Amino acid sequence: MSTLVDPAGIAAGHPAPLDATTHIVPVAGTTATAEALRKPETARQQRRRPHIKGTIVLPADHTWTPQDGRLLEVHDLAVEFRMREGVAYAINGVSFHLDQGETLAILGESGSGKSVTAQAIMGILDTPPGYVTGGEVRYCGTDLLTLAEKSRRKVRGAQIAMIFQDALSALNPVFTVGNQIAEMFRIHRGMNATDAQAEAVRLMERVHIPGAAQRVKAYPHQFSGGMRQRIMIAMAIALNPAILIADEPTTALDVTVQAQIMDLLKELQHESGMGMILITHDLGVVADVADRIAVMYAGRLVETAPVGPVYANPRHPYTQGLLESVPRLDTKLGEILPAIGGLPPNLLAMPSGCPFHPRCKHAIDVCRTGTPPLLQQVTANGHVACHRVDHPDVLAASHRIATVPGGAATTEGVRP
Amino acid sequence: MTERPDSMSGFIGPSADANEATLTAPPVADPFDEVEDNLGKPRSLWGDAWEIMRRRPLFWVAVALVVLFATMSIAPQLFGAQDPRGQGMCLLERARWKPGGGILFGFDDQGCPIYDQVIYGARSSILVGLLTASLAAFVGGSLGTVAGYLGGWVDAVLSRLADVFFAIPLLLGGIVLMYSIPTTPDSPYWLVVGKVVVTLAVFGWPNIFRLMRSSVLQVKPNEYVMAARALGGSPLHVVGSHIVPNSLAPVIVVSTIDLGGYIATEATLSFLGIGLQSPAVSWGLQISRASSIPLIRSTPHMLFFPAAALCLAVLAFILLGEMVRDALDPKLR
Amino acid sequence: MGKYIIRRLLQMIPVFLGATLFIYWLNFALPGDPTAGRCGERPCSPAYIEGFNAKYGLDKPFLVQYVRYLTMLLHGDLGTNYYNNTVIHELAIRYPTTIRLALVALAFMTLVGVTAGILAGIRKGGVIDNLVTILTLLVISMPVFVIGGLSQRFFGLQWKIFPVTAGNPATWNQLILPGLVLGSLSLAYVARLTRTSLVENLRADYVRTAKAKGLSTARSIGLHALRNSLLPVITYIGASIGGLMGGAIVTERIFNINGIGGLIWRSINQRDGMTLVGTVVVLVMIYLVVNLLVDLLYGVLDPRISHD
Repeated sequence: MSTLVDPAGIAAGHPAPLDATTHIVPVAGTTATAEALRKPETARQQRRRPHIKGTIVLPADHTWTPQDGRLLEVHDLAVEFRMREGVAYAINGVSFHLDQGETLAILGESGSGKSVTAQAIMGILDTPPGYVTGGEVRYCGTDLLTLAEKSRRKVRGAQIAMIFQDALSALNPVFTVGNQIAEMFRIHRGMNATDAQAEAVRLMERVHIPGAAQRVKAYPHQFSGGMRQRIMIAMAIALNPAILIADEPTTALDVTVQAQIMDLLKELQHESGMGMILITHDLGVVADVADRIAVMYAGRLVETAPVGPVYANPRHPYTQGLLESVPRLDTKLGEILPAIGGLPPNLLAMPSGCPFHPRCKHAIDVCRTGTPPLLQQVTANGHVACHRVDHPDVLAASHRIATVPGGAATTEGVRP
Repeated sequence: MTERPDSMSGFIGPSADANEATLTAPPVADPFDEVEDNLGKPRSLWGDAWEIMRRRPLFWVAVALVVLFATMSIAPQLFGAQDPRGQGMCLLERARWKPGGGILFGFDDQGCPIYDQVIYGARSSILVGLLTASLAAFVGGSLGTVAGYLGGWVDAVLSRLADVFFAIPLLLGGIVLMYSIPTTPDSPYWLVVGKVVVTLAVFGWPNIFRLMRSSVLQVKPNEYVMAARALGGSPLHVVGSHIVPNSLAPVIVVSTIDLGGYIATEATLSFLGIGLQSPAVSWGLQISRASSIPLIRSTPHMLFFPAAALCLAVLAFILLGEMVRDALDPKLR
Repeated sequence: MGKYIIRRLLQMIPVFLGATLFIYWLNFALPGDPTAGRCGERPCSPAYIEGFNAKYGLDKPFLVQYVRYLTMLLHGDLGTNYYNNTVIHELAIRYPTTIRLALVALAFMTLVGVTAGILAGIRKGGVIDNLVTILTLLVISMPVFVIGGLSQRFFGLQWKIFPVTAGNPATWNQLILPGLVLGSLSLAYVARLTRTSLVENLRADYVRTAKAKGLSTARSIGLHALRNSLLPVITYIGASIGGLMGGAIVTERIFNINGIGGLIWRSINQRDGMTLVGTVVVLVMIYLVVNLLVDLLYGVLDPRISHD
């Protein structure tokens, strides 16, 4: 299958340059870009972009060292779901990066592609119907998409770990929690059962589960929601991963428990210096813990920036809409909160032009018919994908949203 | 106490369906309230199912087979067949003729035409299947509704009663029961058929009872039922217009699948010589006669054609039921 | 756990009583005369019939007879039939054959059924999946006596792979083909249930978690998904044991095996009520006990089910 980077380059530790602005995926026999294939086609005629399947096998003693603190670099990632009803372009050219000790929040409505992005990074997309059809996922400089499954498996869990929204269904109901945590040590480290079990107890203590030594033999359904999520977290951090992806870690929990879980995640991050990708639709959570924010809409990034500026001056009309719809302390009693009208787009029938235009109050003809806007730099660390980003109306809307919920306004750039 | 998983209750005899467990209870919202989908077109539960089914070729195969066998049992003359019990149908000099040369299906060891026997055999099988499935659905359905809705001691008594008939293997109970109701060759047709129907229904209703009971138990706590009760609806009204319509889908599906099973069981009883009796014409009787080892060797077509017709008829109903079930079950979409 | 078992045993009592009462009543209602043919060519003398009826309690009202029978049962006695053989003896010489037949069927349906279900479920919509779906549908549509007749014709007469009939007592080799026939229907259900259950579990969140932990596909599916998928299958297999014993009546007749199926036929034809009722009572007991055991096993295998 296709190889996105020179295998020799990887082996020699010289990954291909990443700074190209328009990235064309070199694919055997075709150089079609993602854009060219997105014109309307009937389901039968649809030419599918080839599925990326890596083949490179890394040596067993391969070590992963971030260069200049950069852990993860996602570039022009594309994922599609091939279904009977047609092809859904779930992710269209998403690019972002994550540094050591940093927390990146990916924000978006359900269906915006934020969870799919996480699964593509982890390599746990359900195939079929989901296929990664383009882009790169560089971890410590190596494009994970080019790795053979065998090598990739060693990254999963050990280097990049993930926790899920609903811990009750994400934990196997018929194994004890101790077994499930210990499995990490047994599979990745080849540890024997007794030692692995001892490690499990240690981890459960680390995530502050009371009575860990006894409860290690309990089953998931015997724990409360918050405790279950702590077990998920213990499992994820078992092998000291460099990156932790948290997919809506607190959505299923009570508000008080939410705060405890977020505190735990912050604490663990502080101790280990891991990078964290926090996927959420909860703007409150984001303001508290994130360093940078990436806002997704219909499978694209529409705005990325350090958390302070996004809250102070959201530049994309979608981000503005999201923030306007959050109740604040200065919201007057009886005042009607503005909501974003309309529905998220159907991924099977994406609107022409900018996918947000049917819901955007600033939309003009170019938004409806032109190509979807690309991310462009607007401030030192801020990027926005909008045709009208510099228009006075949009700027004015940006300034109307002033105060920041949660008080993270001073966070600027990467946390030291 | 833990409820036994549904799949467990499903066995006894060929009508049991292991996949019953996958038949989900009606969704939380009242499925008979029309729900707007993304396209803004209102659809009901059955409307959705129809949209899915009509695009599946196997559904139409099942429908075609059901229509074929129904026609066969109502009007065998349409297939150019004559009553095999009629005068001059059997001529010994044609005994064991093989099919071919314009003779469909050949002749049996008595020189009777197998084609006419097979066509006329449909009536008993379809009639037994249909009547048994209806009787079992009616008895099991009403008792299941009562048990599920009232609960308490009524439920306990009815459930134990269903357990009793579940604990006796269908074939075994069927054999003993069939023997206890004697018939002679002079008995009227309806008595011969009715005996088989009652016997099969006696052991078939607990299946529907358990299904309906758990269905009602799942529908009962829903808000639209609460609302109907809170608004002062009489129990009869609440059951009739809210609970039954919403619990009915699984019962219809399983009854259709069971119908195929009853046809198979009737044939098995007839094969064993205790189901339908001659002069009734039945596939089971034909297979029974053809199954002696000398005849299997010398006249295999005597076994093949009735067996094929029987299997196709059973297949038709099971397939139809499964197609409907898959279309109704949102989990399998 | 102890309380649960006691409650279940208590619930079994009315079911057991009901089932025996029903069968006893049917037997009572069976037409015909048990003394027919006992006195040579001539009908028996009234004195003989009277003595016969008194000896076997046939002159008492139905309920009295039933209560007497139950009392006997409680003492572990299934009674003596009209041929002066104890029913326990009659069963003891035939049950082993039927149980061996059921074991062949059980092994066949478990091994082949579960394997086919797993292969079909792993690749939903694949070639094997469609093949398994079609084949199981065919098997389910074919009554057991049709499958029996066909396999006799092809495996027995035409290709001569297996013997067509069994001796007395039957050898394991003679029980293979009947066992396959007997297990075929349950096999189809086991395969379908395994498939459905596996497909459902493969979509479960915890399988995604297993993948995210860096486990191999073999371990994610073979350990995490399969362990959960097999729970309902085990239940089904356990519950089908009772049905297998019932189905043996037909299979034993087709293959001429001298098991309890044959015994039931003989006792019906000879109006030997004591043997008939005894055989059914033992079958019902097996069914109830196996079901209880399966429920207990389920509680052990699935920690979410508590029998407290």
